[in-house]
Amino acid sequence: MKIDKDLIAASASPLVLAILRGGPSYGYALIQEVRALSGGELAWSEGMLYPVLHRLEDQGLIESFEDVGENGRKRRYYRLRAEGKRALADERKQWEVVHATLAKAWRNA
Amino acid sequence: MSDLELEAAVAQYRDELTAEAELARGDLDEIEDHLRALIEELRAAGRGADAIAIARMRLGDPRDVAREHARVRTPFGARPSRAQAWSAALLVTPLAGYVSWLSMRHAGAWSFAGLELVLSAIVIAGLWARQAWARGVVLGHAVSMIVPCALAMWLWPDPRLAAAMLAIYAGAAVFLWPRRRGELSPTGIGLALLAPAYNGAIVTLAYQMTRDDGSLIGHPWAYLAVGAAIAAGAGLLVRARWGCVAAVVSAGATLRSGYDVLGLTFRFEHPVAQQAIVYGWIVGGALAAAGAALIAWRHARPGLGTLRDVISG
Repeated sequence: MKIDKDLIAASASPLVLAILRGGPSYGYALIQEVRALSGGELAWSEGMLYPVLHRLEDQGLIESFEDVGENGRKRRYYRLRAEGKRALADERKQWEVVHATLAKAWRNA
Repeated sequence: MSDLELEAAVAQYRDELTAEAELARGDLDEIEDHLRALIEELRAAGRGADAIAIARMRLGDPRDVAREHARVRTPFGARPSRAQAWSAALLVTPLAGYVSWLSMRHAGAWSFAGLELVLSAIVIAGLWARQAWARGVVLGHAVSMIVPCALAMWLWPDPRLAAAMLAIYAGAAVFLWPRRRGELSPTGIGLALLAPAYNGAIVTLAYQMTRDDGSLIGHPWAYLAVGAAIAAGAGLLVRARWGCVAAVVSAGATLRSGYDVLGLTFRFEHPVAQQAIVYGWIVGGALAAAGAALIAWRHARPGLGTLRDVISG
């Protein structure tokens, strides 16, 4: 199934925030996680993840730090900040409202 | 697929990214790390010759990735956070106002003092607006002022103003200093270098205004150095090759007019220390201008430049 580009874009930041809630991660691992969670249905153009990460960082929701990855190379990791946790809770409420509304509408359709 | 092919593919992807937009080294490394991980994953899954093509497809067209990137990151680096930019701006705004008021009272509005007021107002407005280029300029200026201000505490009869200036510049430098690698792009660093280059040029101008016999001389080299430093700043902002030419001219003219300063006799309490500061300023400024010229050359875009990148966010 091909998921609409706008929908992917809209869900990108809550997804990233939600995954980072579970602990620091880096770009490639985030993509793997999204793929696993969606059963392979959510296929991002992987390079597009980085502008999303940098925008979230610019907004102060996440922060990056450098560490040496398992391959021995320096790697940029991201972790959630307190503001990011608040934003995630807020986004979650919004998505739940959208989800519940759609679910009801489809039951009646 | 050989390691050689892998390295060539990675280098090509990087080149295609940077051809579309200027990305900071840290950001490029991050994408490269992803590309390598993808290729490794595909190789482990038994893919051979087509691993690179699939990895490229999954990562996305480098032009699209770079363009999307440029919407978040400016060519001058990451935008400073509100806390960083405004803390630094709160520190430097009163100082710039005070210094402008002092020098305009001395020289009048239609002088370099008036021009400096306009320039510093533009840069400080940029800092309040969290512009990455303004961050570079203010950071370069603040860092280059720390040592002179520290020495001035010892040289000036009343060290209080020097102490206040030292605190302000050191504070601004701490706030604006990059927190991680690649936060300032090469062009951002070029702009930071132009601040001491401008200061060096201004010093040669200031010292040639008063010769030994008391005559006021504005040496054409000093005017050229200052004007070229300003032009180089404009050139770097619009990322044009002529910015490089202006920076080279500024470096040369600063050294040339600095050479004239050599002949001056210093009538200060600590002439040797004072002389060391002045020469340090001039030589350091010329070196900084040369560095900025190198960066301007390597990172300029074809054409006469564009203002498109200047206003970010």
